[in-house]
Amino acid sequence: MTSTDATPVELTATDLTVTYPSKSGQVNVLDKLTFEVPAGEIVSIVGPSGAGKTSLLRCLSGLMLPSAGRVEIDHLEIKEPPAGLGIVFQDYGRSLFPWMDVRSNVELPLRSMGISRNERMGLVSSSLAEVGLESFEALYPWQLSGGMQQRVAIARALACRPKVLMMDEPFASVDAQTRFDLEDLVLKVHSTHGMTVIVVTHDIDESIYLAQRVVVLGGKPSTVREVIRVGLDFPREQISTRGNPEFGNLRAQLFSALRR
Amino acid sequence: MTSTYIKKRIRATTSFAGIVIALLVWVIAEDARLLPRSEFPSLSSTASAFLAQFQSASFVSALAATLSTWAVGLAVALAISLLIGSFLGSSARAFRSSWLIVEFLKPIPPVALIPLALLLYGTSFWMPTGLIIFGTVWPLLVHVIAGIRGVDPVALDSSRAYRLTRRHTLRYLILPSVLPSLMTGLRIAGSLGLAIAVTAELIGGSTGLGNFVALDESASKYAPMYAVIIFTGLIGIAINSLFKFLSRKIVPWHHERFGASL
Ligand SMILES: Nc1ncnc2c1ncn2[C@@H]1O[C@H](COP(=O)(O)OP(=O)(O)OP(=O)(O)O)[C@@H](O)[C@H]1O
Ligand SMILES: [Mg+2]
Repeated sequence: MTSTDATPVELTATDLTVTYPSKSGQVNVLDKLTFEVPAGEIVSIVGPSGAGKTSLLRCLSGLMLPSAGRVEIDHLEIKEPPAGLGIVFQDYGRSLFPWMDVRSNVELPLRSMGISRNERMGLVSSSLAEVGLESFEALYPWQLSGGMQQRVAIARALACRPKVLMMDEPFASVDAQTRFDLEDLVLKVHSTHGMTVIVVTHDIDESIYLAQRVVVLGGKPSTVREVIRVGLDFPREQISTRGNPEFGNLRAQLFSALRR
Repeated sequence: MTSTYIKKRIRATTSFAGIVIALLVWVIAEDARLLPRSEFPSLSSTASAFLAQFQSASFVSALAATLSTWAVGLAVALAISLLIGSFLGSSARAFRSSWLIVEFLKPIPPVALIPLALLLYGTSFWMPTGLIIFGTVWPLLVHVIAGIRGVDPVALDSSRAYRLTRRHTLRYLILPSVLPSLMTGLRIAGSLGLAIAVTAELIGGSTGLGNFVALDESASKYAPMYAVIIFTGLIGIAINSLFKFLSRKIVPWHHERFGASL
């Protein structure tokens, strides 16, 4: 961790329940989810499409209040997005402002935080360099490929020196090679800054590769099926880590938890 | 690069071709005596009347009157619709409880209100101006509300998650989201406002280009009358191009991203 990094935080979800109004009354999407995300860990949340992963992340980030239950960060209940949150949305393209160039997009949250101009320059430049976009700062988001927009969204999160970084299916819509690169980028960023990281995904392999702990969602409504510890060593490497027999065992365990 | 340039030239040429054809039809109809000479002056006499207008002080002041009612009316309508629209657009309840009134008032043609406007303001500046405000506030209001309701929810989520200040949210999210729709509204309101101004002057008799047409008509001075009518059309084109140009300057991302041809 470098000196500017904030201390990571611990997150807990207790009996977290989400219901949405529907034509026939109420539809229960998440039912009494209880799990914890230890400070400084990478935790992935895996579940099939429509399991309510985005709804869960909206609750964890304070963008939405759960219908019942609570979310706490360092034992304080979250009712709105907390300071020190970095977030990458599933629709990352739409989360960037098309009227601002890459640099201004990354800089805007820092301006709202009241950070001085000089310090902002440094934070923005180093975050863009971390995601390899330093030479694209003057372009507009719509002039970039999907994978590059994704990296802008990650740079925007990093520039805030977040205590917790949340990502919603961050690599669902990029090609396989870009996906591997971005996964390794997340691991690198975590080892550099040591923040707490929550990654939502529907990809079993990805959930293992990235995380120290996997929360498996399943059922209708979704409940926590299982929380699986991933003991694979860091630093991880696409070929050897995925080739590790332990990786295969974890995959089988996750697969059966999802099927159950 | 070159091919878009050529396409642009072709497009510009075809829009001029329409005008040339119309003028040709006029000349041919004139030669073939298809139109009664007394009511339909020749192209050449209309053209010279057109040029002569610019030397007439009363024409220039009529033009100034029309343009100033137009500008003031449009500016007031814009201010009103921004105020009301930002309120109605951001509150679902306010929107629901007001849309019936809006839908009721919207189709009332401003011309139908000329007698009322005359009663209230006589033939003063505020007669046509008031009608312009009433007529143009609807398209503007509808576009402001659509713009505000159209702010991307994901962008709104990120402004909340990153705790943007109220000022930054307004300046860097709401305003740029509303602008493309607002520019479209302004372009529609701009042409509509000109039509209302000329109609109010023509029927209601306040000073302006419309009144000029009415006076020429009653004096059977047809060449200058047509010259003024043509001139009014040209102002309409100018206003339209002005807003198109402004839109490209103000919301370039909208045009770049969607290739929108406003
Ligand atoms: N605002 C809402 N109002 C009503 N229903 C909603 C709302 N948001 C989500 N839902 C419903 O809740 C369920 C879960 O949605 P959610 O987006 O959280 O799932 P997800 O796991 O993120 O899906 P995906 O993998 O496709 O991104 C879906 O059936 C969806 O239709
Ligand atoms: Mg989702």
